[in-house]
Amino acid sequence: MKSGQNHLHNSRFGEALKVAFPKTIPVMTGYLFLGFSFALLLSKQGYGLEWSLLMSGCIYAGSLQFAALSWLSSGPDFLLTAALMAFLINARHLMYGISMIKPYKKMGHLKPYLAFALTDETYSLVCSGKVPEGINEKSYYFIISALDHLYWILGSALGSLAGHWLSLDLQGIEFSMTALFVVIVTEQWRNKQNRFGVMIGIETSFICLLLFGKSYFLIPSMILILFSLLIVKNPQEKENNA
Amino acid sequence: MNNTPFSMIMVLSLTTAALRLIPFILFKDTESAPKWIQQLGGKLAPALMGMLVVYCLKGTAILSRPFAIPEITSIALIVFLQWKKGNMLLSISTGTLCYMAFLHIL
Repeated sequence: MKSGQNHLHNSRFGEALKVAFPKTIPVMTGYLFLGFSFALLLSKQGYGLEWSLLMSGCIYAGSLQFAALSWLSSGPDFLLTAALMAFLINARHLMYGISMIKPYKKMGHLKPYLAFALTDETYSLVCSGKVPEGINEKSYYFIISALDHLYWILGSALGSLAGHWLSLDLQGIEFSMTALFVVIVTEQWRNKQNRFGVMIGIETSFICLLLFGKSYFLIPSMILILFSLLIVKNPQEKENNA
Repeated sequence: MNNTPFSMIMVLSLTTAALRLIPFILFKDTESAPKWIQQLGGKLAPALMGMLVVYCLKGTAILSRPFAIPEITSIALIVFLQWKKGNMLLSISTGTLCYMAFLHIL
């Protein structure tokens, strides 16, 4: 009897895996590549495999991990700035969570993990809130979330090992971080509604960089960006409302 | 021993995890969550990404050799490739290689 139930459970999990895995392939290529690049840069700073696994396993947020590369060795007085940065960079996750409350309602003990693993890419795979017919919901959501998480960790492990074992001339590789953010901004720019925010971000932080210098400009930039977004109305939005 | 890197990772992990878990703890359904929280979350992302580009380039010397030519050229290449092809892997690797090539030549 018990083995029969197990068999039933396994086959449902297997079916969900068969449907869910192909959907995660685009995320796999992206996460392996970015995780690899991240850990390569991390290992160049002298942090080994255990650090890259810790960061990718526990933080599990791409943009923030890249930004944090230069904060790790910056001393305890930077912790507060880092927390504020983490909050603002990842505030968009509040939005993802809010929209997934209903689909994740009946996830039981898996819910905390599913919420923790809700990155931009995982969200893009589950946000429709629809599970293919005849597929177990819990297994489906769990498989997608856990596979994405594994890709990120695996990419980071490989990058860390490559950084450690390959003695290539990697001068300038740190530019991949700049490249990542330039790519994200370019993608944001496609949506006209985002252009106002992008410009506020670039202009405000550039002015703060000139005024406060490169060691102290982050906090004033973040405060001014927050204020500007709350006070100044996005002209694009006004147009759409009219 | 300096344990700041570990504290830093914990601070970042807890802040991120809190943001991801809070909606499920605080709100019963999507409709009961305040609109402004959702809107602010969406507005902050583009602005913060713009800020991070500036952050990455904060050490670039504009007024001395090589006058930020490697940065400007590589960024132009990345934007062009991403805009035309939309392939993140291609844009990042080509742009980074372009920058690395500049460092070798100059």
